[in-house]
Amino acid sequence: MGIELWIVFLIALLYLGTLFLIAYSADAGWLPSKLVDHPITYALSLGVYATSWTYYGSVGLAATSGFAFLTIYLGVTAAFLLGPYLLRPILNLCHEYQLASIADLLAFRYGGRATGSVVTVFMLIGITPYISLQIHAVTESIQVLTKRVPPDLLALIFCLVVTVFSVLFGARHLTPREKHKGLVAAIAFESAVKLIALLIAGIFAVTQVFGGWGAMENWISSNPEELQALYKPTSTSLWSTLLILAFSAAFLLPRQYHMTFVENERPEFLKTAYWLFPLYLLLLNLPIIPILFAGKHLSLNVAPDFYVLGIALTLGNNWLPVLVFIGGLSAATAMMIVTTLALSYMCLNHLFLPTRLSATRPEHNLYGRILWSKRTIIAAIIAAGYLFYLVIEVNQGLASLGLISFVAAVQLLPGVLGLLFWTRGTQKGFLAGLTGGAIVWFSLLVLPLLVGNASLDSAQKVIANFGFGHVDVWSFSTFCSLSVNCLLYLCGSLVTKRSPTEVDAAGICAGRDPEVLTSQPSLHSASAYVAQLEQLLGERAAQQEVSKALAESGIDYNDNRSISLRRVHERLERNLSGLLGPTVARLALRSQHPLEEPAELALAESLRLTEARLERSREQMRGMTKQLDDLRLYLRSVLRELPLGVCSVGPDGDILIWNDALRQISGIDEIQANNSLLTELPSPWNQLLGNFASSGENHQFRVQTTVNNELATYNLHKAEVAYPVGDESQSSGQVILIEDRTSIDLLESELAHSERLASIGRLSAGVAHEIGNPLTGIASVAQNLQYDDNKEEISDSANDILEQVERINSIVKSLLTFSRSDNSIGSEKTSLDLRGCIHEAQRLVNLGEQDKHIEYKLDLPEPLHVDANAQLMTQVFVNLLKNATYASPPQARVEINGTVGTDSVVVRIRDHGSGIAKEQQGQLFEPFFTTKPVGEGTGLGLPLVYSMLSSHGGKISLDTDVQDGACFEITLPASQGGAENAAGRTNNNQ
Amino acid sequence: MTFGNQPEKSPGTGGQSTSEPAGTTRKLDESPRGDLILILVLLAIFLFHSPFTHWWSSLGLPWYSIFVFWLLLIVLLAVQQSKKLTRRKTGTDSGI
Repeated sequence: MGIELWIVFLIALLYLGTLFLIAYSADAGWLPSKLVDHPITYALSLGVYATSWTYYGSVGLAATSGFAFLTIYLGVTAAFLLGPYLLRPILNLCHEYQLASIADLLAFRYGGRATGSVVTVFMLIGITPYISLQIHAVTESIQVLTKRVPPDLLALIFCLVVTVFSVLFGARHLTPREKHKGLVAAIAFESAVKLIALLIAGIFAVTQVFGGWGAMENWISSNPEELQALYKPTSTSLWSTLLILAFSAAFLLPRQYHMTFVENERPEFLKTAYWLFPLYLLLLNLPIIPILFAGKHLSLNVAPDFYVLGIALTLGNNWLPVLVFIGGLSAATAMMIVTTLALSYMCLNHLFLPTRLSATRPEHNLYGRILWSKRTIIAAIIAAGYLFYLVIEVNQGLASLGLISFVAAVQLLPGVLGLLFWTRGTQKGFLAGLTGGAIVWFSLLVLPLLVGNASLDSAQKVIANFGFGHVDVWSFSTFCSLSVNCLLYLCGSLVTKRSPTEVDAAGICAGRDPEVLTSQPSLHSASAYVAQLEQLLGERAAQQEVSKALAESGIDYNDNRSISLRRVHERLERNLSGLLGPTVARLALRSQHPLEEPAELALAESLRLTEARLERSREQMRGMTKQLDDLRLYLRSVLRELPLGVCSVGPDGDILIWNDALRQISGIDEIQANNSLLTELPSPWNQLLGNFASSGENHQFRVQTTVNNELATYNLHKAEVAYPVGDESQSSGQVILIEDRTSIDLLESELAHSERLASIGRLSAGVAHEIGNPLTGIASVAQNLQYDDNKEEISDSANDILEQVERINSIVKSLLTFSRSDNSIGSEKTSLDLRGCIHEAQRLVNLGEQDKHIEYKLDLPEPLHVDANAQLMTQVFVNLLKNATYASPPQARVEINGTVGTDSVVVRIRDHGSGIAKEQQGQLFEPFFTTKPVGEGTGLGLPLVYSMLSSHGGKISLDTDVQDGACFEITLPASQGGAENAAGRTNNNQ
Repeated sequence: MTFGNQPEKSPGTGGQSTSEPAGTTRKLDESPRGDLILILVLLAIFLFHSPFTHWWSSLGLPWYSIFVFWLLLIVLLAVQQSKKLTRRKTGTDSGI
């Protein structure tokens, strides 16, 4: 019984349409992202490895070579077992450098356009048999199903349909970095379909053909030679050979590379795939033996490759053969779509674009041209597969075509292993090895198919002539080609020198982080990059690429700093690598404007990359390394949490460290600061820190500047730091500490005001008395005035009243002036004569201490000019005179004398009171320290005096030589203007 | 000692996901979790590419035995990966 061809065709179209719909839905976001971006979806998408070779050819291979068919999947398991050492580093390289094909990877490592071109051409030739295998499988399966239609026409129609769908899946539009979310979803779906189809076929084989598991076991028992035949190849060279071939095919076949690395969205998905993908392959191969035995049991009249279809047809129902056919179609088309996609990208980037872009004529519509070129290449690749299908007759099973491609793919293994583990490999060595291996491969496996009777038997005969008749053709050809390859690779690498680019690339592939782009970009603005790229890519493409690079780097279009342009350059190169391949990307950016001579290593970039690498490597650290890294993190945390602003500057002036406290002080975040030179910071920080960094002083106190329209005060400290630490010959950077005194100054000012108000409170009794006296006088005069008629007497009385009023006014004015709060930080300073402040202070103190009748002896012969705030200086002397008066007995004398030195003014206040005990002298200026009874003093007077004098650049000290009483000495810097005037007057007097 | 202000982060430069250094090469015996992987690799070689392979394949075991050995490897690999995941969440694991 067969199925009508048109039904088969319709089913095929419907299924492919469904696949496309799934892909489109995933791209459009109609499918839940949780489903599409899932590790299971990713692992299933790797199932593209199982082509119609697995679906049909495994049974055929099992029939001829027993369990050897499983090595094709055991080898993959081995590769995934070694995933952390083999697959993960490649994935990291692909993500980091946008390497979207195996040719990109090898071109990146070994450099040069030749590498990419040779690998691409070799892969094109090597994979063609594999593509023709799929065409064979589908056409023959249709032939089995329908039992008619010439295969060539069928094959042609199939190829045309696959071409259309390949373009729809992978070349509808250009995608950055060749990522196709929809394709991954579709391939995952088809992997599930073929697994289900094969499992169902296997279940039917066991239950319907044999009548149950037991019956099958009975059949096996009664046909022991079948079981023995399965195990026989495990001891042959074929077993080892196929393991090695499958191991390399797992990640070197273009479709596997594409799905494993290029389409990988998240590296952690690979960890799930390490075990899930081998599990999938195990389940997929589980039905193969039951299907083989069922086919033999039924003595089917079809090739073992198509036992699965034959069994389905024999069982009599319609849906099973259709399901099986869909599974096979699914396997074949998925392989062809993904393979042509991967190969087209390689052809585009390594064969087509380098030649197109080397022309001087700019491309006005580069993206369109790339897209149509890709579509054309896809069609050409499938056409090549079709031609191979027409030329070659498959008379040794489908698997033989696949194995030809596997032996081709394994020629890349030495180069890839060298990429990961051997830094000595050179481009010349790699190309020599690849070429030698390719020649042996072609001679032993492809040439016999093209000449003579087009059969691998010819190759077997050649091998037998060499005396290796007992060795199968696959083992022999793999061994010979790989040996030649490895030998030429090793010898060629050892006798040739590596270029600087190869040295760098080798280091990167072996685990070093990318070197900082030490060369300075020779282009000095974003618009210059547009003009540079425009010449090769066209205006629109150039503008688009530069805008994208700027957006991704977070850099403004008008930012022309060298640090920023360097980042833009790196980002552009990466993006263009993803779009056009690394070779073309470098060509586009550097062909006309090579980088300038290497500049000094960018310390900031180097430190950041080192930090980033340490962070990423932290998980693998152990022992001393981990302890050191813990210490590093602790010290970094200390810096970050320090309540002082910390800024570290390299020898070039680039900012290396900018901690949280400084971010809060300045409002400049770490990212902005770390991208800048010190002089490129926003105002006023560029001037404040820049001037301080270049000054000779290591400390600057109470530096004032305006921040956000408010006055702020900072203490600045700095120290030199040599890098590397300890190497004095290296130029040094600096570490700058910024202490924000703004709030402290405000607090001190408020405290001083509170103290003044408290003083006024203590003076209140004296104030009342002082005001009371003139008021009494006024009342008395006014009373007499009522009875005076004499004009002269009235006038005298009025003058007396006015005099008393003026006296009251003066007292009130003094109190008001003294009590005024001064909230401005850095109080207004003027050049004043301290004698005025001393007189005012004496008067104020007298108001409260009249009962004691203290005699104030002032010895202030000359002006004491200082630059100071009058109010604060008055408060200083009020506090000191109050203390002196408090400590003195009644009618004692308090002496105040002042002298002017060369640059300073000295005022001494001496009392003859109780003095200060020796043990208390050290605590005099401590806040809240007082010898007065509770309620009589706050203990803040002297600390405030100390602070106020310090803010004027002065000091206060206790003269410890004085025995009876106490003597405080105040020193203040002389006012320059006042000193000059004084000198002038002195000269004049002379 | 050099230190910078790179934040502790899970994604890499430019918001990319955490990844090991590009092209990181590590010898099997130097990696912290390489010991388990090494054991699994040795087990795989022992089962499928050693004289032991020839021995068990000559015993006339049921046809599905080879699948059982294969499944054993896969299960051990899955267990090793899941243990690693648990340790990573508690901050005590080093991951590959």
